[in-house]
Amino acid sequence: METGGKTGAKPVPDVKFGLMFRCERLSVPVMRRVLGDTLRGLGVDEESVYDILLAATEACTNVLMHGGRRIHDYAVLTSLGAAGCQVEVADQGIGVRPRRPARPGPAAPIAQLPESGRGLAVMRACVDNVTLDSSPGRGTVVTMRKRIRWTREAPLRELRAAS
Amino acid sequence: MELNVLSQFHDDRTIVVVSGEIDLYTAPRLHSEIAAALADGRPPWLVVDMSGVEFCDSTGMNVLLSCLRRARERGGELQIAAPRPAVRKILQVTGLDSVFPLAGDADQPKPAVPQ
Repeated sequence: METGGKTGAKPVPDVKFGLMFRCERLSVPVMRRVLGDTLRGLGVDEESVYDILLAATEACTNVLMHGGRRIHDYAVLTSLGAAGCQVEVADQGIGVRPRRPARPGPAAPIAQLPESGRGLAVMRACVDNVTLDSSPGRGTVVTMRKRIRWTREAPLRELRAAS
Repeated sequence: MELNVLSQFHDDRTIVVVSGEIDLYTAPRLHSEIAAALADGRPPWLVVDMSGVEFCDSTGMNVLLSCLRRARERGGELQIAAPRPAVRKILQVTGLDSVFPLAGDADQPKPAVPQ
């Protein structure tokens, strides 16, 4: 189902890479380190990298918190191209139902504020488009797309300019 | 991918200096450190200095919200000091920027900004 407001074009990837992690909390900072270093190495600018890492962190956290006990691993598949960056976070868990994002009004008493459930809202704020594909027994795939800015030395831009 | 938490205990308040990355992996330790600073017998006034935090996600916000609640239950307050862009970003996108008092705001009551 579509959960993002803006349309993000599916990138035609110049580079596609996948990471597989065991379902343990340590995988979250490790994912961030590897994905961040790779995106920087490919010339994605720092602000875009941070937004992608924050969104991906929320998606991986949701796998670990809500995927259920049956899953042992999950995948983070990234595509990078002229249209931008796409990150898919996929598990074989029990599936989730999206909830409305928790965005409290200024006057909301703090006793009424939930202490979880903000992940999807954070993803939507960080990338252009978020889709959540989930059904019971089939696991969940969260797909995030973002137009990105490149650094001056980005090797992918060099490749495209030469072709 | 490390988190460092250092609590400085004063008579009227505790300053918790946090640096590194806050996420699902480090959040439990952040929670236990701040909960210890809010233990019975300690003043319920906390300043969480986040000037060294390079990454923070919604899990980190959940920890701070839980501790803010605990501080207020005890008649105190939890203030965030010196948030860098990473912390300001997660405060803003979760809407919690209107919930957490920032140390140093003119209209905030004590404690004052730590020097």
